[in-house]
Amino acid sequence: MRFYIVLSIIIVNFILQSTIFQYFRILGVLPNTALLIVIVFSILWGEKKGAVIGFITGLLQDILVGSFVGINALIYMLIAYNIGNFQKILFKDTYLTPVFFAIISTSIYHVSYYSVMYMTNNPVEFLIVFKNIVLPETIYNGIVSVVIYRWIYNLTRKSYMKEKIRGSKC
Amino acid sequence: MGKVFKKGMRMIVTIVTIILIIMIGISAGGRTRVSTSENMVSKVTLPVQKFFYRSGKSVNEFAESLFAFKRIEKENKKLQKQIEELNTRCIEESLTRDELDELRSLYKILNYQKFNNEYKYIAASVVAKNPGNWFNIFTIDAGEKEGVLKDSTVMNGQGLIGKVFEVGNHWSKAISIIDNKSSVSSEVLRNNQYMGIVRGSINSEITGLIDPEAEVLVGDKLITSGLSNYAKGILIGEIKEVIKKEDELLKTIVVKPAVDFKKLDKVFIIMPNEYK
Repeated sequence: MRFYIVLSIIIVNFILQSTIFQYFRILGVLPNTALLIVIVFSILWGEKKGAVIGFITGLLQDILVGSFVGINALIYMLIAYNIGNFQKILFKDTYLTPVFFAIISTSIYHVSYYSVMYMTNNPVEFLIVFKNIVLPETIYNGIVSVVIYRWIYNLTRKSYMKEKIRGSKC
Repeated sequence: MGKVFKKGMRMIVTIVTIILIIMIGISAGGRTRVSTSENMVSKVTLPVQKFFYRSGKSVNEFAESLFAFKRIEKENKKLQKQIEELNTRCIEESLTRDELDELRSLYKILNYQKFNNEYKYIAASVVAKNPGNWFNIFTIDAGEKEGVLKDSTVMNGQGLIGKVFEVGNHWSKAISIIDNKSSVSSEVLRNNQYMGIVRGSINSEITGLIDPEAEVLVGDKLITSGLSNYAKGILIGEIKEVIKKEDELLKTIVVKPAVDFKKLDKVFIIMPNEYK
């Protein structure tokens, strides 16, 4: 049950992100809701599930609309895995946690994207990227992460989402 | 037990990372064929995306029309003026056309090699766009089965949009000319001696370099020259700015694209083998 709900969240988010959200770009930049969903799940559920969710989300994006297959899957998976390692020591009842991780991981996402672009012979000027993409997107992601965190946090509290996560230690 | 499991997890993540890096390397240049699993995934999601893209467009248009009275009125006046201008021009053009037809009939007599200017089009519509902010990539709903090939030119009624870089069964991905990765060989419409290359950039602006001797003006129209993968004679845009720097050999031009990339819907795809 939990699996299907998470999968449908990922797919619905992807569809909305690639279609309707495109018409509501602010300054030409779109908040990366897929990344935020991955972060939130790995904050709440730890590195194992986080990494799997990140991998699926990224691969879906890469196959259907990406330019290099695997790049989003790679970055999402690594970000989710590393954030998930902190899961046990994180304080989860404050909105500061998602905002903090959203800002950090958006920056990491863009730095890794930049390095892949650099390695595949598509060099771009980092200053322009920073000014036009990274800075606005980080701010948007920080704001949007509060909404997504709140929604998913409440969702994970529901009985049908709880099946066998909380008790087990791994 | 927990420790062993944790180590195993780390191993899995490492292995998957390596596999993904290899996949990135393989798919970096765009592929002529995609795998069957990708086709299967897109078969399911494409119709849904199509529906949502359409509905997003209509919602956006509705919201915009509420605020756009003034602009529409202004535009209306401008367009009416343009129609008058074009009407007078139309008569002149038809006269020259008759003359041209007469001259063309001489081709046969002189046995002159004729440039085939007729392309075969496939109509398609945009179904989704790349959600990331790095690329300007979109998916269209025509693919290999419809006859699309890699590097086909994509355009719409307004002008050049981009080219196809990955082809699936009933879908393909196209990269637009404002993307950082693409560059187009272009020429000035007013005087086709002035050739140059224009490139997209990361902040979706088209800039290009042109011969310093060339007399290009702000407002000149740029068309494709046919030397690159793109078909010849498609409008790219208007020159917005001409920059001449002391320490550079060539002039820099900034181009305003003719197509509104925010509202892509119907596109044409030109087959590359038609003009070879």
